[in-house]
Amino acid sequence: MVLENLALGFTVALTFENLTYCLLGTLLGTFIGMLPGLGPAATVALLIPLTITLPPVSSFIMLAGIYYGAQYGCSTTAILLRLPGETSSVVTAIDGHEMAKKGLAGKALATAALGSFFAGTVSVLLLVFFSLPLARFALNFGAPEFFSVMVLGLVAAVTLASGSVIKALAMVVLGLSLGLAGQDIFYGEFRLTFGFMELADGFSFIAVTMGMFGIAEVIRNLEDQSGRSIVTRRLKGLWLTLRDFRAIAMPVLRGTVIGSALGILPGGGAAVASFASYSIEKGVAKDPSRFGKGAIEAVAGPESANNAGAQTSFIPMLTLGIPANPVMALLIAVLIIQGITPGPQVMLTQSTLVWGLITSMWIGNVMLVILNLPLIGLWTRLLTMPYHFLYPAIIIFCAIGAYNVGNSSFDVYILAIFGALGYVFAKLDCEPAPFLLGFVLGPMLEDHFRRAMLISRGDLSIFVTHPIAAALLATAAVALVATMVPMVRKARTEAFKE
Amino acid sequence: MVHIRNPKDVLAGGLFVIFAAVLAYNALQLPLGTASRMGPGYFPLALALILAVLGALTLFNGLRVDGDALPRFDWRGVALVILSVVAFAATIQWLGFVPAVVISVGVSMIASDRFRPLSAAGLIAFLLAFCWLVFIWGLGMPVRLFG
Repeated sequence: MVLENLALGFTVALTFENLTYCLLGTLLGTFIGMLPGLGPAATVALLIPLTITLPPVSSFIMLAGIYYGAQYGCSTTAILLRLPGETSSVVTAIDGHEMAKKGLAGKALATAALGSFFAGTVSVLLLVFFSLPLARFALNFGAPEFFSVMVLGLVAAVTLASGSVIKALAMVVLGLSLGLAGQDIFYGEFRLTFGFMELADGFSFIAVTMGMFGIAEVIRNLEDQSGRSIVTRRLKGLWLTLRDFRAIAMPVLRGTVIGSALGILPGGGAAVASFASYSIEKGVAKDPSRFGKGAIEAVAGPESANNAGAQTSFIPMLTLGIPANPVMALLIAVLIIQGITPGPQVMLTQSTLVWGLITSMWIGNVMLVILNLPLIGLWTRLLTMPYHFLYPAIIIFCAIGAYNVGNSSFDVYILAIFGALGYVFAKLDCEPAPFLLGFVLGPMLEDHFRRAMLISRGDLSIFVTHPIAAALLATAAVALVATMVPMVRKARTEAFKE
Repeated sequence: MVHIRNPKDVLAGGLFVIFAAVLAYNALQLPLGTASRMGPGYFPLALALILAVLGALTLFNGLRVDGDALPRFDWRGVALVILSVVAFAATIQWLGFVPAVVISVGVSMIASDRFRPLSAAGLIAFLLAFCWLVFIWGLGMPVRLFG
């Protein structure tokens, strides 16, 4: 069964067309992800307009390529510029950049690439073996179960994020509410349209994301251009010695295990995984004082962990339709735009799409290593490009991209509004990621809640009498209450401080 | 006059409460229905109430617990970047692709003080060519170049 699926996957992924899209995706993802201030979510949002006209399989293969390309690009900026594009590469920025300062940037980059490749291979295998059984299990889910698993996903995303839990929850609820805008599917009533016919289908997802992640980020970078430390010294010693390999083998293995485990959780743990891997490596190290001063294990472990987490986050997305992180939220939105309803049935009815995607993820990881090791020199030269040449390009790309999706100027105004909103929220320490997860899940959450209430004739106890739903909601409640306990709260603050 | 201990939280909480009020007002215009047959206003109203509670909590926390001072907002940067996007929206259908890109990029470049006339013109030309290549030639975006 598994072999059959893999064979199907390879016949899809190895066509000339899809190989090209995979290559194009990884290249573009690495390139854009490397631009300072653009994390994977912004990169994917920025490039969605390029993929939307492709058939579903090709567009997903390209988007996945963009995603892990962007992850790799973020690690590169973290190592060379000490500018982590996202929380999961914060740890890499510490020791990776210290290595770069010692002239070992090449080694750090190679470690990141090889660690990520190993982690990617293992986690793709997990995807192969676990997604189908999980989807089969989820097929028994009714409305109350789906509602509960979505609530758990949202709560997990909030508790695993850094910063205030209450503010993150508020961002989720705001996202859910704005996600409901447009014509109500049951009654056809217009909600939150403020009299604009253009909002009949709700806010353009791409405009909202590009505003919150792209435009808002540009404004923030314009304001803070100090403190950049670019390592432009010639890269030498790209190749790892046998001793290096021995030093990184165990950290990579441990990182892969942690990352895979945390990545599967709805709510996503690529960031937490990299923090966890860092503290474990520091714990088992013979000489922990080297950490923070350019320890190769501190690059190998967290980089493997975040790549493993990034790949296994596809599992809840494909099997349950639950986004583990903003990028998965974007992919779910693309599924919907392509006319595919997210949920467990995707695994069974869209087997070409799913298996083509999974196999191409592995192929993409191979391409990433082959391409990037020799191209590192070129990439570093790109990084020296001053920011003032970049930001007008990012802005105009967002504007044209938002316009292009529906040929509507209205969407470009939405882009402007959410850009300003995203900037203000970021300044007030309210993160855009929980908002985005809520925004995507809003309509589905309401739909499942309505159905559950229809079944139970308005009795909320349906969420207690259905055991799976009850267990999921209880887990969510425990996670939420735990963050309020002073001890956990303190540990959490410290974990994110490091 | 109450001493505001954490202005970031007070402001964020206030914003959430205002959003909640707008959402609740909008939901109340719609039929609410009953729990077993929820109308279009039911779920949005519930969300608005939750948001209001979370916003109020944030606000009161901000009054009670100390926090960082309010960061400086770069209003000039915000205005120019947003204006650049709005300029594109306002001109794309009216003047066409080329003027819209030129105007939008031109406006956004004012936000940086590092451009010289030559480098500014160079970047505009490059971006115009690049965007044409990607979106019109590559993706077949249906838009007029002028007018």
